[in-house]
Amino acid sequence: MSTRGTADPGEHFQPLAAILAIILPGLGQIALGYTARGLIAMLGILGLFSLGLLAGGLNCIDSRENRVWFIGQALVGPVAFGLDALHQSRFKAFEASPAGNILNRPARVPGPSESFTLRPDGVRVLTPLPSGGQPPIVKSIGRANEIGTLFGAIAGMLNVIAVIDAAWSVSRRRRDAHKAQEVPA
Amino acid sequence: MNTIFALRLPLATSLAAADVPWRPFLDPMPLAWFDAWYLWMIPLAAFVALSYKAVRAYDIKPAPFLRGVAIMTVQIILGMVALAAASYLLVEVFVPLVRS
Repeated sequence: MSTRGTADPGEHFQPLAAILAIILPGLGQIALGYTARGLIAMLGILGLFSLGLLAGGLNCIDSRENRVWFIGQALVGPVAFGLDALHQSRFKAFEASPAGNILNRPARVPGPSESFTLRPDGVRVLTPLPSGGQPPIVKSIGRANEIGTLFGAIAGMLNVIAVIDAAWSVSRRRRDAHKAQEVPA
Repeated sequence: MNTIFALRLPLATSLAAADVPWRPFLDPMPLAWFDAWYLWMIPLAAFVALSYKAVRAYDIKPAPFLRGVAIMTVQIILGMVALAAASYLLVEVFVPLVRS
């Protein structure tokens, strides 16, 4: 350990580590050489995010219908944006008249008795669910939606801590270690 | 969240989750998993403690690290229980006292 006041590359702001931490939770710490620390942070943040996704389904990540909570979820990084894009582009569809005109914008998740088809022009339109069929996705409601949404947002806020730690990790942790040494046991 | 909106949905919407096979990460978990919804705070607290200790603890040797995670998990759960109890007392005891 270097003495206090000695210049150390790790004691200054680390933009690359911060960017990597934003891209994937824990990656910033791994890039700085704190592999175990980064992997544990990754496990904690992505584990919480995944548990929320497992509980509430993909429907919990919705930048259009649940924008405020998505701001928190987006702090997890590109993972959240990718899942939202998947949700918006693959599992939502428009209502259409028999003549084929789009009746209701924006697109929405099919109901329990609905499915959708992809028209030749690339637009997804809602259709009745065939007998014995399963909706492409089930909308989450109630506790499932609450828990799924909340877990994702908390994971995002935890990633903010991880990004800050990656950006100024060595100096902050070393300062804490100095404080601990100064206090008699 | 969608809770308020969910109350306006037909009951069939919520039952649909139980009628069709569950597809993990795509559909919400079956409703039975949320009967004891408050138990979900245990994994929540554990993951929060794990993530926080990963970036804050300066000793990540397994034994002290896991002990720290376990202690923080219990602290979070006890804190949430205490907040719930305080909220209960406020709403069910103190507010009626003030109003009477």
